[in-house]
Amino acid sequence: MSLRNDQIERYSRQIILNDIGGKGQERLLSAKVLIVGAGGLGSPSALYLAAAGIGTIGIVDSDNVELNNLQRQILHSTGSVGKPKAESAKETINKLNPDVNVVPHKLRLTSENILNIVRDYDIVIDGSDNFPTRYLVNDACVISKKPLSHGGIFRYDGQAMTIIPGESACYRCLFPEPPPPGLVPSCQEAGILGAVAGIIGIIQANEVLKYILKNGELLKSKLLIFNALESRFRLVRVPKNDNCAVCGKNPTVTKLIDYQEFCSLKKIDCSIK
Amino acid sequence: MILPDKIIEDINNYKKSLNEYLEKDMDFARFKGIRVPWGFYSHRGKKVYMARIRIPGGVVEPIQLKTIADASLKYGNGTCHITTRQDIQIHGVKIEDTGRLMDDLKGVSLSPRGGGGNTVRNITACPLSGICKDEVINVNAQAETLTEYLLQQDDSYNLPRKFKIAFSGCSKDCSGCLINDVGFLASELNGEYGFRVFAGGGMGAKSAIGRLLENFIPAEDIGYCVSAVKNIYYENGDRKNRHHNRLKFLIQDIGFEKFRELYDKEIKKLKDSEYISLRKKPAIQREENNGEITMVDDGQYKEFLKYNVQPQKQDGYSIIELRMPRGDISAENLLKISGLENVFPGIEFRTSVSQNLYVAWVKNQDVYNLYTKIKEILTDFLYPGTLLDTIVCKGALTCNLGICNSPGLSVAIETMLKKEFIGKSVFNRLNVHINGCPNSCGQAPIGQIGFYGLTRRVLNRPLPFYKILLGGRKSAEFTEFGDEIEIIPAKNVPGFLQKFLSIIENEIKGIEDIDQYLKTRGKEITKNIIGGFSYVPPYSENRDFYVDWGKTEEFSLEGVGQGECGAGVLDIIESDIVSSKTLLTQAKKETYPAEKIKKSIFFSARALLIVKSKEPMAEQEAIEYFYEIFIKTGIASEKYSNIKEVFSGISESLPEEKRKEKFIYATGFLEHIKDLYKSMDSSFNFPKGTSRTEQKLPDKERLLDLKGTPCPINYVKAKLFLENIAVGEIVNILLDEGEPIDNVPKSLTSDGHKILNIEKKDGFYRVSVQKEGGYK
Repeated sequence: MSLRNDQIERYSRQIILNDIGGKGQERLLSAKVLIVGAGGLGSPSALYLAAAGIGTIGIVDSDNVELNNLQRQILHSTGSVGKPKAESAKETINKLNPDVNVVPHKLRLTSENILNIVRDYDIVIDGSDNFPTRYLVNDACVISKKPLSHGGIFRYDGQAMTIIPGESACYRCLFPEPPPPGLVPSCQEAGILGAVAGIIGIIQANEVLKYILKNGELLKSKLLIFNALESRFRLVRVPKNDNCAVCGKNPTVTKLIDYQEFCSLKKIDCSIK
Repeated sequence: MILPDKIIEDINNYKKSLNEYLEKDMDFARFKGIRVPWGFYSHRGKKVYMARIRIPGGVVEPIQLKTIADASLKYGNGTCHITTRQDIQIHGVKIEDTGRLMDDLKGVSLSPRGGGGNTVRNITACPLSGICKDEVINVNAQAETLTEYLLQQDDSYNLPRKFKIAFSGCSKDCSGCLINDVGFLASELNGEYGFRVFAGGGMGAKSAIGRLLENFIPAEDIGYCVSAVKNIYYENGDRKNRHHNRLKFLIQDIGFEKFRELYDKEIKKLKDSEYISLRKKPAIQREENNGEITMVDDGQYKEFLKYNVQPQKQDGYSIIELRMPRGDISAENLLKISGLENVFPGIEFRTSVSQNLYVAWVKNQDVYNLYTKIKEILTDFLYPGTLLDTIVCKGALTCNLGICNSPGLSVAIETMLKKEFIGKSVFNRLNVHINGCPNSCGQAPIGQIGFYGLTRRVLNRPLPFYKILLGGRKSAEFTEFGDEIEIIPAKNVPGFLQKFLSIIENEIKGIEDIDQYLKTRGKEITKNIIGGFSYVPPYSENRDFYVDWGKTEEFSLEGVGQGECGAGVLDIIESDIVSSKTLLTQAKKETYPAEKIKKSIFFSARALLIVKSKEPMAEQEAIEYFYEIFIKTGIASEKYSNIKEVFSGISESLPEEKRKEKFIYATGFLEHIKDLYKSMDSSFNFPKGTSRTEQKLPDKERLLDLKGTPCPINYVKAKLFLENIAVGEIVNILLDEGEPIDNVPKSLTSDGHKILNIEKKDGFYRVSVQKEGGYK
């Protein structure tokens, strides 16, 4: 692959950087990133990844844009209310950088379809807003050995961690089981400061760029926690859990389960030992 | 079939490219690379196109059939064609309509995606699966759900070459498991139902029979099995050499054992890391029926019952097979056929690899009524599965690769057969397959009697010929290719066949293994009678031999080549190469006669000219063209730039020693042509003579002109340039005065490169930079 003149100009400020250069840029241009959720986290990460010249960005989202999304989901604008988010995202991204091949996946991830979708990508960003999807994405990535950038936000707090299956702790090592349904409100029910989503989403984008460029140090087995009110970041070590149900020594989760059902069961029934 | 979202999304990308092409922002070759994997091939002449619509397992609903017929009337020339892979083709489509055509098809879950190019092609299955009395397992659901799975994957459209998968429900092997890249043959093991899997089969200029890969797999493992083979092929297949890139060649090259080893590893990897599960297709419940077929005293109806009708597995239902001559049916008739569902609700349609259309789920009591309706629509539908039911490709009228007009020959053969063979032993027991070129779209290698088109020059004029093959069959593990026997002029094929059939008609009554008979006794008969059919009268005596079947103008190779699908001219190239070689072998034996050496050089020089649309007949002309097209452009080695002089200098008056020198020159020249032929890519392009261009641009003189390029783009470009040269190499960079000369050398130094020299020129600087270990 050789860079076109307009590409050299567009990406010049990062090609200049040590350790990126033309080779790094080519790596970015041929990378394929899947973003789960074109929401508060997915929006900023998608924009920065697109700007950096990621070749293919897959966007999974089955929802339509609502007015209340616009406070933080900066991929969408007033004119796109009512449109499918995946399409609105594609339009915005291609306006920013027409080089990017945006693949909209207008669907809800399920145990049936997720592996087929994930297999076409190099790395996955989880920007989902609910626990069933988050566990599904984690397990699917671990099972199919796809790197995953986890991000989560709640009110004024956010967190991020990068999961390299087989190497670092996964989301289940941190939180072995989903909380019972109804105990934790989803973002749809809870408040969130838009800028917090922006900060965490961009951290996820940054992790993905480093992974593709094979540069720097990833948030492997390390949870980065951010509090907006104190403007403070904390790094917490997350050891890989040998008893983890999906990435431990004797995994009990070897096939994907549809977590929607699983989570709506009573706690006692859904223990997966 | 449920059309995967990916295809629906990709249609928009196709339309975008189509627009660019129509607005002239994209050139023909580039757009070809996009449209062909979407199943759009150009017809000969490149003005209109053919859309190949995939029909997994041949199961096509009435509404789908109607949509295809409507689309053919709306966008095409009103003709449809059933292929030997159960696809339905629409012909004569204008390129600007292809987007709308896909939208129409999308509405009924159809698509031409993967119809052509290096893709997973239509997955075939027994046309009668689910209703056939003999089947072990119903296999069309597998063909359908496997299609859904594979169509979702990007790599299904970017394989080294096409990839064909087939399912057969019993050992009758309707789909030909061993002539596909991967074939699944239903079988039973210890009371469990599953598949025997074969890999590496395929027909073409070099046909191969598939080999047993798995003795038994359960149906749940189909996805893993196909993915494993596909992944190995994707990774290891030959992408460069177009005549060597099907799976069969990979297996040939590495050996089947090594292939199996890779396969076992890949299966294990997939099972560890992926969860591949095909959609389960719910079975449809049908009402029970216990009607009887009405008997009517009508001769044609009796033939219909005998040849076209068979009972279904389910009591009270019949299957009706309609012979589609040459797989062709007009859109108008197809529309009417699809409309039969209104009169006979519940009927289903299936296309078959023998290019016919089946009507299934016909209630017994409706058979006669259906027969009368069909008679109102079609005229030539009796006798499917007989000698009259020739399998034939589209031939030279539409196909870019076609040499002979095979459908024309098929018409001539059918006329001959109808006159004197209907109902005879040969009629019921034999089949004829015809290809218009050495590729195998008409599946000649598995025909009991096969013909494939080629060309031979007679008195320097190209003529249509056919190669006769005998004794081929597709029958699971007993699949065999026919033996190639003789070559005869196209115009003599029906006459030859008529004589051949008359002789064997009297002999085959008691013969059970008719294929073996054909290979031995059939061959003998052919050899005995061929003499009467191989003579070509001179043009002045009988022009007819110089005009192909179904045509009025004289045979020519014009328009052949630039194939979109596979190859065809390759055989013409190879025939020249062989001629050249033969002459050299003879020359060596005969103290180097000048005439043979000259002829050899002529054939060598001419071999590759056909891909440049030149077909010189005269020796001098061929040498001139070669010089213009191959030497001047730098494609061929400079070593042969004296070819004109050498060629004209060869004469019998030279002493033997000198003639031997010329012989060595001719031998080297042939080797060079063979090398060029090997290096030719899929679009018949050649890499430029590398040795020469490199000499002209020695490393020391690398120059990068960055005058007029502002900061920091000049530095970025310099950095990119240095990335792509070896450590220690030197580049001279031209930079403007001011900011550029102040900054760029500094930045390059801090990247670790060495500035050897800065020289001020008129208004700019010339900076010599040596690449040193790269930047940190």
